[in-house]
Amino acid sequence: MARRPYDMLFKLLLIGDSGVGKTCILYRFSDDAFNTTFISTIGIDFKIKTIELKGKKIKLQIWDTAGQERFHTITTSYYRGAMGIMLVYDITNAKSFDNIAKWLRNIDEHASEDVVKMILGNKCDMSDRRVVSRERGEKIAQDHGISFHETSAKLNVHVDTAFYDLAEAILAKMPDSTDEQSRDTVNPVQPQRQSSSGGCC
Amino acid sequence: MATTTFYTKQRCNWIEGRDAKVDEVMREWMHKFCTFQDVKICVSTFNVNGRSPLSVFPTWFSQKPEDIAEFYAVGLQEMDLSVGTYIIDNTKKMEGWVDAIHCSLPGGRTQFNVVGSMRLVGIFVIVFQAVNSKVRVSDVNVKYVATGISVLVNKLGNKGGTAVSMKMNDTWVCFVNAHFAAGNNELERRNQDFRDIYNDMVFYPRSQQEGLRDRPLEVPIMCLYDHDVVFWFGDLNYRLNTDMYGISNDEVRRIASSDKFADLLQHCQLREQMARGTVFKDFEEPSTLPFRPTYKYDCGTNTWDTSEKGRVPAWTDRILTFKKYPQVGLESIRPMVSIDTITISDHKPVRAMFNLKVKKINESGANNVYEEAIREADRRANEELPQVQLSLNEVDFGIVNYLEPKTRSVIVQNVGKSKVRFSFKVRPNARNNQEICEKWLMVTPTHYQIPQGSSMEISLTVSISTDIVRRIQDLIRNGQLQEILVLHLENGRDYFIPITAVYNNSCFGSTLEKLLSMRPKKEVNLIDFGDFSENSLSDNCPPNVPRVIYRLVMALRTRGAVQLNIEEEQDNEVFNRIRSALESGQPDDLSQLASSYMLYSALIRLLDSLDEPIILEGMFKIIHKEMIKYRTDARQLWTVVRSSLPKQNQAVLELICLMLREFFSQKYELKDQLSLWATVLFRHDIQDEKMHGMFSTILQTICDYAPDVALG
Ligand SMILES: Nc1nc2c(ncn2[C@@H]2O[C@H](COP(=O)(O)OP(=O)(O)OP(=O)(O)O)[C@@H](O)[C@H]2O)c(=O)[nH]1
Ligand SMILES: [Mg+2]
Repeated sequence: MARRPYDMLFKLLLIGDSGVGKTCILYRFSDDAFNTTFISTIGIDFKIKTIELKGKKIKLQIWDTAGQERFHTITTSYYRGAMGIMLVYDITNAKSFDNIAKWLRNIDEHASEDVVKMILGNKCDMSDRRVVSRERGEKIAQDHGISFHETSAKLNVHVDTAFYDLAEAILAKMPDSTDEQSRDTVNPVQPQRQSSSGGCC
Repeated sequence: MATTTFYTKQRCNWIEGRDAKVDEVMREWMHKFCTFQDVKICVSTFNVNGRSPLSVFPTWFSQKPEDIAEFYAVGLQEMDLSVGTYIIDNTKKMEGWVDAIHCSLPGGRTQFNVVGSMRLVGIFVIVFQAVNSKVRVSDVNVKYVATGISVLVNKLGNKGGTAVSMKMNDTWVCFVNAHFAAGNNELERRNQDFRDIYNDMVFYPRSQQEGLRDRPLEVPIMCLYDHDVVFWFGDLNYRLNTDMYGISNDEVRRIASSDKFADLLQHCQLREQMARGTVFKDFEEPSTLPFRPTYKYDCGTNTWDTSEKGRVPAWTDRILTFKKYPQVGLESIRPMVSIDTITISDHKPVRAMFNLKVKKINESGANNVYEEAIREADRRANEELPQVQLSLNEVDFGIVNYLEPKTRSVIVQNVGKSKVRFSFKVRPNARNNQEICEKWLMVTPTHYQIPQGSSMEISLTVSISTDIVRRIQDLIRNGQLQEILVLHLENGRDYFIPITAVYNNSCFGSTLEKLLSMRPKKEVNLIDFGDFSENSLSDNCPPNVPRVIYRLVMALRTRGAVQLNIEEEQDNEVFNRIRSALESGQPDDLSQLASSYMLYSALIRLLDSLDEPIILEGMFKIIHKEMIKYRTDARQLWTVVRSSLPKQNQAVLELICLMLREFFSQKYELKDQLSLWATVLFRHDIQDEKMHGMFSTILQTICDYAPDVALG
């Protein structure tokens, strides 16, 4: 049966300390590019990317937030409405990892309850400067029942995987297609509706 | 039956109408997956005035080989006027007309098949396709919409529209035949007929049902505007507005019969309504109509109506076209004509010939392109997001002073691909949740539209007014005034603009206690021997009066009331000079520093900016009571007021009263200032007139009396 390609719009949010690479991760995912100069985000930006998952077209609207401390009270107000949140730290920056707990608290306080979370340890290309082991990252994610990836926006490691995994986890939470079908057939405003028959995706 | 769930089938195919942006890209890339075929379509409309047809009309359609079309669409109006047709569906007349049209087509009836037809009483539309046509016609749907007077439940059906919708290969085409309300004065009803037909002419094509069947919340219909092409023709009944221009019927007929008939088109109601955008929005018609008005003739002739009613000629019979988007290849390839040789009716038939580039979609090609189109659509969507550049990422005002507004500007440059609309958002999580920022900051404009490539200046002003200064300590965080503006672009991102300012602590916006402990910095004085004196004026200041207040009052008294001109203009520069003199203690004697008026207003501002009024809030009630009790006993009144106040307030009040009393005696008109002083000292709500009058009276009584007692 035919699916409407964009019948799903997922709103995702990137959060984490300033400089951990949120903007770079988004830029890598949407434009497949990378920039080494650091221009700290002062505001809230977003990009759109359509992905295909389980035969569905899903439009991702990905919001990139300012990581700087002084904006925290403002940025938390954008959590509401996010269906997925990527919490990013930098494996070469211990402080950014220590702050994970604080970010998780922020999510609990300000995001909707059923938001899907994911932790990303970014800059995994810089093994010589690593201060947070992969195990510690996995551990904290596991403790909170959250999925985890080590990524590199620079070398394009696991960036796509992370977004697809997050989208898939959100999709898995959605009411499944059989519900939609039953909604179809009982809808009285649709005369001449054909009964379910084969079709494309 | 095998049901395919979408989980097993991974590929998504393109179905138009689901995502406007992707459709746009697909349309631009159409040549990559579509082939086009030229198809000639002839359209004709004829109001037959209830007449029976001749067996054939040899001149109705051009028989020349190069003029033979692949499709003929014909709309008739008033095909059947017999009263019976309103009640009983009489098909006999219709069959006669179908035969007559069919036989009149080039090559006769054997060369064409009927694709579809629809009838609403006398409003009849029929579409023929040439037997040798290679176009695959599908999804033929028909529909009528009745407008006009409702009788009982059903509409009468003497006005309305009938239509045939179809797919020619993969191009959606709709033929709408309409008969609008008649009569010179029924313009609005004609417009309404258009709107009703346009609105209700919806189809439920089978293939669209398939495509959209999983959009449970969207009714799967084809509206007129969903078709690639719409031909809308019929007796639209729009008349000429010539009477409004004082052109008589005879004159119109004369022009209509002459070579200058085209001049009349400028008076056409339809043209006028279309120009106003009232009806037929996005429809087109050739700019000139190269034939005489098609209405109204004496039947059997080419003579303008000689009946009693003597109708003014008009182009009532029209053919208009609509294209869903500019790339649709639809062209009028012959001048539109009316067929004067057909005289059975009081109208003439009108005929037009079009070429339509009918498209055929290569399914697998389209689906291959589709993936790429989605990426392209995303790329464009991201690129088209509004973008601006700010000239400053943050704004630091440096040191700001009381009543000394400071302005900075931020240039917002639209560097995006379209115009942007911006607005400052009510700051999320802010304490004052209605405003975009704290009161000490003013932003203009707070919203605006910037054309592409242009820029605009936003002005930011920090202004520490009296209101703000009274609670300045609550506003300061980390020694600064801080705010973050949120500049929001409509349908786009938000920019944060941090604002900081350092408030210069001042004797303004302070408290009496603080003022009392304030000591001028003397070190500068030591160098300047000329001005130096052991006994400066302020050394005589009574212990409970702050020096700054004392110095102002003494300077005013020294100058005397006669010099006080309350009409003078406020001068901020002078005010700032007084302020810094007060704060630095230099010069100690202020009497030569500024005009009496500026000193006077500085004194008022100083008292007004104190955290609390000199006559403390809450004293109102007591004083009011005493006032009534000791209305005539000033001494008693004074004692009560005085004893209800802390020492420093008493002392300041006494000093002020002394000064005022002196002033009133020196210059009687100054008594007008009493009410102002009452406002400053009591700081009551000046809106409340009754109270206000009372406070002035109290103050007057006190002034008249107090100094004798206190400072005698
Ligand atoms: N080596 C390496 N450097 C990276 C990687 N990702 C980001 N960076 C660098 O880290 C710096 C900060 O990246 P951003 O993406 O701007 O950081 P951010 O998290 O968006 O910071 P804020 O906008 O201030 O919240 C930039 O100089 C990037 O080039 C990565 O995967 N590897
Ligand atoms: Mg950033």
